[in-house]
Amino acid sequence: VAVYIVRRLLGAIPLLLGISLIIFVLIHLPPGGPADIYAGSPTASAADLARIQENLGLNDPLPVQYLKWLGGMVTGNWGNSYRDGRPVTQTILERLPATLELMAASLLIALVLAIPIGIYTATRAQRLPRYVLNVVTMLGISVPTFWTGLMVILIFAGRLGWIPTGGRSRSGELLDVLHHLIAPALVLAFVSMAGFARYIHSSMIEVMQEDYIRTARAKGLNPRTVLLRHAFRNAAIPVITLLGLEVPRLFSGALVTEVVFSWPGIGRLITESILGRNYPVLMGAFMLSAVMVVIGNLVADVCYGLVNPQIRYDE
Amino acid sequence: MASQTQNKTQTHHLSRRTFLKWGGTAAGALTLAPLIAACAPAPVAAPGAPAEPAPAAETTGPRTGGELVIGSIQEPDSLNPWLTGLTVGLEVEALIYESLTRVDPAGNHVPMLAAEAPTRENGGVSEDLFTYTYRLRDDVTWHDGTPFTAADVVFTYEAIANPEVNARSRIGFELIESVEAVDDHTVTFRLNQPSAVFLETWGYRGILPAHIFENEDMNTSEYNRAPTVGTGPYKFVEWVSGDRIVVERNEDYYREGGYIDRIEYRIVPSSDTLLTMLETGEIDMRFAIIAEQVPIVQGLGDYTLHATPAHAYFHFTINNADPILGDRRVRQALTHGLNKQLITETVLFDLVQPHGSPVAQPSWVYVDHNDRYPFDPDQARALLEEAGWQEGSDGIRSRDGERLVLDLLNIAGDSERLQIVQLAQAMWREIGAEVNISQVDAATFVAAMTEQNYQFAYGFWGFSVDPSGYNERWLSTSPGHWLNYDNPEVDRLLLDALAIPDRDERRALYEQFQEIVVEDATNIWVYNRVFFDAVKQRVQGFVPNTSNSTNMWNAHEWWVEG
Repeated sequence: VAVYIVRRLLGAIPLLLGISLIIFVLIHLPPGGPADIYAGSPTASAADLARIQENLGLNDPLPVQYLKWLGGMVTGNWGNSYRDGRPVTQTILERLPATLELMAASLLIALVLAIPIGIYTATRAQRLPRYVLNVVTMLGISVPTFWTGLMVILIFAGRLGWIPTGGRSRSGELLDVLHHLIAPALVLAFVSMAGFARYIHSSMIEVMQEDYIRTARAKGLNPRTVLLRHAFRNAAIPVITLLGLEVPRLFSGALVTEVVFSWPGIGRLITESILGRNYPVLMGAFMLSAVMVVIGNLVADVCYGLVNPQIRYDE
Repeated sequence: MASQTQNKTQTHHLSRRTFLKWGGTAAGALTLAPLIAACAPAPVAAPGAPAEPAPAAETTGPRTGGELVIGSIQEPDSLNPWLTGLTVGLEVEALIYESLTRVDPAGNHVPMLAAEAPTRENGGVSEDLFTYTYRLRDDVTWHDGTPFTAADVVFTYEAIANPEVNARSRIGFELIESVEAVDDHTVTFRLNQPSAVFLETWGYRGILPAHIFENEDMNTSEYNRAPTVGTGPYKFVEWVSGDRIVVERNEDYYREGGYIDRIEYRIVPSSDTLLTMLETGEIDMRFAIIAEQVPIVQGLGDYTLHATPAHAYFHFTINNADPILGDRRVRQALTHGLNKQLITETVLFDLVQPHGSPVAQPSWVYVDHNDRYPFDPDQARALLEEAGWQEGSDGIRSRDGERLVLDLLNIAGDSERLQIVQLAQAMWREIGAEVNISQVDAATFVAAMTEQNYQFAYGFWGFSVDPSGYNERWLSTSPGHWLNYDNPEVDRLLLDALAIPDRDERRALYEQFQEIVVEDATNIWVYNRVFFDAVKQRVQGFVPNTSNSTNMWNAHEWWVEG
């Protein structure tokens, strides 16, 4: 397995290089640049903007800019933010914990809710639970996060006062952390939960028709044991793939959730950086998310083996 | 309810604020406001109404202590007064750093770190307008105890004049021939040409501590993020990225004031969430509220809503060298065809005034030209006929086979702007002009303007309080000359006005300037911007000021009731 992991990681290098080139081209495609954001300020003259543009190295040809960036990246220098002149690594690292916290909490909530829902609806013959599942998952997938988020804030923070209107815990005490985390994590989890529940539901239905389940039942095993040890363990495999794929979705979901809930994470950093054409920060943040996706998929693949020893990694 | 809330809206006819073009309104695209407004009947106060008396609660005098929370939709880029390009950056740094003079709501320079504002009367300005001498206060210390001296002023000039420093603004630096610290508390600037407007240069941005920055790289210094050494009424405590900036009371402040123990800038990137925070009372102040939220905030019992006309307006920017729009009659026709009153009444809830001059309404040189082009579709059609544009079968005019189609740039993501350009589109269709709207982001928009690679655009311009700020837009040699309008007479008026110290003489030139530019319809002005600032009633001493770069001009006089 170790060899497999190393090989996968090595294989990721050209992939990441290609991604970096594509991102670089894409973020430079729209007209306008970082200095233009400040034009229109009555005290910033066009001459000031031209000088800043030159200082930031924006007058170099694009291939030169890309190679400079790549050279820096390889040696650990991700450049400096156009916005405040600080190193990109520092800018990203100080925002990363908040985003990871939010993503982990959402993933956990999504799974904890989706597994029982998926199993329950798959094993009941009645139609009603399935209808309810359909409605809930359709809502989760189709209602935009910014709307759900605003409604949650309006009702639970504005009217009822149960949760803060936004922001992350300052004290760091567990209860306070949860108090601040619960609403954004639930809102972000809602979409994932809907997807997970549908997958578990259909996966369970499929597995329940397999011969080995019938055998297990015929042996007279406790139905509960059959359900959880035999059926769910097998039904969980596609869900693990889904978990790996969920990382980029959570990441992009965080863009919106973090803005609505004033959550000081990477999502907001990216939103601000896109509007401000802050290329170094954008490159850094996107490369980080690309790495997270690569790792997410790798972890998912390795987890297959843990869930199902039949899966072998060619060595 | 209506009369009660009406009383809380104070109208100030003051001046302007340095701020960013898109800062305040960019995030207003998706909003719950209409939904909430439907539940709460919205009283609307006319900005033109006579000013209500401010709540006279100052009977007890300022109290030391307490906390103040200011909600901000933006996060500063830097707390270095010369590097920040955002209003919120200037707001926070103004609590920590101080400029030589500041601008009061009437537009006058009053002393800050200077002992007095230089004038010809007190000998600070030479008769030939070539020399400006600032006498500095001798009782000021930096937050680390080091005395503030003329060397700090000289250092600030020299550091910012360095072209490698990414200073956002160096207005007036091109005038400076030399600077000299005559003694510890006197600094003299010699200019390379006479200027009547040099006070602007040192009137907004703070003086930096030489002993801190002389060994730092100005572009990347950690002091830009943690400005622990200033002279202001408040001292820096912390900046938690994406969440808050906190300052505390400077107990050794050299003048009376600086009463509040702790001021927090809370960064909340959604205007809807900010609105909820006003409703729950979590924030004490919120500046530059978007128009569609104003009726809701007016219904909140705990807040006073200040409405202050700014030195800024929304307008249609025209490329005056465009083949179609280069014809003055076409520009005049479009102006006649635009029902500004309808726009301000519907989209802007009648909270603002229609505008028709290159000069913003609070300026002391402003002349009301709203009557020059009344809404008159017939007159508009007649002007287009005269210019050779004949009505076609589908109602769109054409001339020599070319249809009257205009490409209009608009910044996406702001529902107010979109509603306005769509209304205008419908109005201009009525007179036979077809307008195609291109929705672009701010950077794309500005790039098109800067390269003069556009035909027509809906945008926003802000100006410095001194009318010399209009040069940037109408002087044909200025880099910000997006209008492509070349008129030697206008150039002469604008340049002459720079060297005239007497206000009445200067005003006469700017009146001629407005006359010519309005007649030429170089832009189609829509409405004068109004800043709506909500302040909780327990906060005392707040005086909105759009003349200064920020509302923080008198922050040392603010205090909160216990």
